[in-house]
Amino acid sequence: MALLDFTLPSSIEELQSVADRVDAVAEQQGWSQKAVFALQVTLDEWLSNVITYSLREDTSQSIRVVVEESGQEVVAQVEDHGEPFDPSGKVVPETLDETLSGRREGGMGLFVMHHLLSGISYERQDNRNIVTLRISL
Amino acid sequence: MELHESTQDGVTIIAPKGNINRATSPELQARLGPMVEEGRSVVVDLSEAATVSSAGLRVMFIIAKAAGENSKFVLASPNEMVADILNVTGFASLITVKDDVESAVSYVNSQ
Repeated sequence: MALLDFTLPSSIEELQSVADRVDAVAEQQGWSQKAVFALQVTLDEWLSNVITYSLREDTSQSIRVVVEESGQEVVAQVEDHGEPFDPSGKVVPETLDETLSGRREGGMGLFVMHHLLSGISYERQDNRNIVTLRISL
Repeated sequence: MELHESTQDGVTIIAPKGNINRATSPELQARLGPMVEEGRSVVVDLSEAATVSSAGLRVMFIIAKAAGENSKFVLASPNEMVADILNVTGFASLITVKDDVESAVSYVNSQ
């Protein structure tokens, strides 16, 4: 059974409730600070990306988040009906100049995600983006 | 995220507690922005900041840039994971980061 399985409206304000749910389940499961850090930050990066770019902050759209523990990993799956976007490819470490001048908006978030995750995969199914984030425990 | 404010040797210390993420970082920016614009030096004590995502890093950079030459903006006491993110993204080379609040305060007062 999933530890967390919920949907949230596509709105940046909702991200705090996601962080609170993750903190609660992390405490219950006794995950290391390092694993909780990776889960909190990568969910924040990816959900921000989906809300801002794939769904363009259309609050009528919703995003499903499922978090499970599997073996020695925390696995988080995020599903949305937005524009196709595959974050699993190799991210070239961007320069701060590119990030800060806004030329590659969102690029730093993807770079941070790849740094913290032990695995990331992407599927496009029935007009949905399904992204799976894996974190070592 | 909660923000606690204190003063040490005349330097303002802002201590965020919890997650500095896409949802909470605007509040941090709104609190720090007017301080550095007035020319006040600020130390951000990260000891109780569990996480900092890229949205939080952007806010720190905007504030550091706004502080410019008029005031000092220093980060202190990041946990191991936050310190790692500051290093891999290169932010640690753009913003002054000290191991603890005491050395951040002495740094500000020695400038």
